[in-house]
Parts: sequence; structure tokens; C-alpha cells
Amino acid sequence: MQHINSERELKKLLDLAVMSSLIMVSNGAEIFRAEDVAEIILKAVPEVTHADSYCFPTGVFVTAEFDDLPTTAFKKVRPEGYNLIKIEKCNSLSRRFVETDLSIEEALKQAKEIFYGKGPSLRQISISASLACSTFAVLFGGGIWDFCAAALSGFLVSTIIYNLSRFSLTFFIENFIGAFFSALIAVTLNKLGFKNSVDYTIIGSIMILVPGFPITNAARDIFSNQYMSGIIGITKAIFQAFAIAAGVGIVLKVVG
Amino acid sequence: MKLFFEFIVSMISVFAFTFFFNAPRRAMLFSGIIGGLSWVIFKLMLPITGSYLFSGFLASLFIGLSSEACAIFYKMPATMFIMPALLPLVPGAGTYYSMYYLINEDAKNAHLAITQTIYLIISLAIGIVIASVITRLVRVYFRSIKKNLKK
Repeated sequence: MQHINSERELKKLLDLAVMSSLIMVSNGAEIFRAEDVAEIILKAVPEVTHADSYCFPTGVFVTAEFDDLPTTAFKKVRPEGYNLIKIEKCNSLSRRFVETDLSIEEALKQAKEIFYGKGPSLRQISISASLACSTFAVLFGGGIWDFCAAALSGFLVSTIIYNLSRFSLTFFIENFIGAFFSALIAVTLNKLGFKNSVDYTIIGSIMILVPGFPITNAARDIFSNQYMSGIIGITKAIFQAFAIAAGVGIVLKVVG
Repeated sequence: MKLFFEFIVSMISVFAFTFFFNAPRRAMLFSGIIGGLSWVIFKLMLPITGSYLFSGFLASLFIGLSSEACAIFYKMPATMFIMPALLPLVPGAGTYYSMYYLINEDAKNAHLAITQTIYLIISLAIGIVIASVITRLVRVYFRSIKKNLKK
């Protein structure tokens, strides 16, 4: 059981709670889970009489009452994309914090290590994206030619997106460029005498871009009383789909 | 035979997505199997029930329940399994097609694609939510039994 005695220690505890919420939200966990993690960490300390957490896809708020005085911490979320292993590490960190005698400082150090840890490498991203795109092209009804074309296009598009993400453009531009190139590759291969169908290749290779999971997650948020987060998620997903459709549409209008 | 082929293909795609999302290595095998099975359930139920809504709901209910079971077994959050496994079902192509028809001012197809996408999204979300509610109820029930035994 951890104890806090001073304002300074309370602030460290708050930092730990807000940090773990931030890891959860920025790596793609559900909103209610991010709120839960912060509240569980705060309530593990008996001196904290009341704990609240309020998370958005764009920011996290955590507040704790100690000595009859509320203190609040806030952090802004910079979206990083999905990285499930960080969510798992953060979850097990909060579990260890509650169940064992892990000190607040040590836990805070570990949380920062998780947060600033490296994401997946380019090789991992591009190979898995090419495999995912090609299998999706087959799953939606394509043949062996679509498999090969979508694999090539998925590999190239994920490489392009990975390199673009360094410049921290907005998600709209990134998706537009990704969809533009995937359509361009599909049409070019077709014109070069590859026997792939343009439709199946495009739908397979934009599978890594389309916001299918975020929009389902947003609907889940709304069903579990997180209206604001749900609205934010749905709005983002609609604009993302718009960017992808525009990127593909331009190529098909001009060439196809 | 065709279903078995689709099972293998969707399983491989879910595996690929677990790598893409950098999931923990321990979670990969089961999310692949869950994803493949849920696709088979979706495809099997589609001609029987005749509605996207209900077959999507059944498939996502299966995903939710088995993912919660895996989550308890591996002591990980259930998202680890739900997220990759849901990807073949999720209407990513549907959102793209609805926007594409809207841009091309193809009102008839746009209407069809949008309604189908919204139905599928809502049924998938309801399936996952109901699965998590069921697990929560079961947990509360077992906890109360344990307390009674201790007394």
C-alpha cells in the first residue's frame, strides 16, 4: 500500500495517473478504459478521498482530492496511431501498482519509459501492411492477381505514410496521399498489362487507411455514455473516409 | 470448402493486423483464431437470417465473449483481442464506398451504402457492448458466490 503525505507527492501521483491515461488514449484504447486506469491508480492510495478522470480523444483530465482540497492535472493528446503493446504494458503497470508495493516514483519512471518508447519499425509496418492488404483483396472476392497487386500497393503506401508521419501533417492530408497512391498503383499496374481488377486492388490496399475500427469504437463509446468522445470519433472517421474517397476519386476520374 | 478457405484468409489478415498494430506476441494466436471464426459465423448467418444487422451482431457477440474470456485468461485488456479480430467485419470498405458515391453524386448507391454501413456499425457495437455487460454480470455473480462461501 502506497502512502502520500505532502502536496508534492500528490502531484507525483497525479502525474502518474494522467500519464497512464495519456498512454491509453494516444495509443488507441477505449475511452472508458483510460478513465478507469487513472481512477484505479488514484484510489489505490488511501489518503486520496475522491478521484475523477475525464478523457477525450484530444485530451485527458484527472483530479484528486487530498486533505479536502482538489488538485487537477491535464495533458493534451497527440495522436500516435495504434500501438497495442503500450496499452498492455500500461495496464500491467497499473495492476502492479495496485497489487504490490511499487513506489510512486518508480511507477512514474516506468510510465514515462512506456510513453516515450519506440513504435514499430518500418520493416514490421510495411510487411504486415502488405500481407493485410493482399489478404483483404482476396477476402472481398479478388483473385491471385489482385493478391499480388494489393501486396505491392500496400507495401508502397505504408512506406509512404510512415515517412510522411514524421512531418506531422494532418490526418486528412496523410489519408488523401495514401489513397491517391494506392489508386494510382492499382490503375498503373492494370494499364501495364497486370490482370488485376482495379476495384479489388484499391479496396484491398486502402484497408490500412479506412476508419472502420475507429467508427465502430465511436459507436461503442456512445453506447457506454461517452457521447463527446463518440462524436469526436465519428466526425474524424467521416472526414477520413472523405479524404480517402477524394484521393481515389481524383485518380479514377483522370485516368480510369 | 470455400468457407474454410475464407477462414484461413481472414485469419492470416488478422495476424497481419496484429503485427501492424504492434500487439503483444502472446495475444496474436488467439486474436487470429477469433477473427477467422467470427468471419465464418458472419458468412454462415448471412443466408440464414437474411440481415446484415443480425449476423453482424452475432459475429461481434462471439468476438466480444471470446475476447473477454481470453482477456481473463491472459490478464490483458480485452481490446488486445477485439481490435484485430473485428477488422475483417468492420465496414471500412462501406464507409469508403458511401463517401465515394456521395462525391460522385450517385444518390441511389450512396443511400444503400450509407444505410448498410450504419446498420453494420451499430450492430457490431451493440454486440461488443452486450458481451462486456455479460462478462461484468458474470464476474459480479462469481464474486458474490465467493463472498458467501467465505462467510
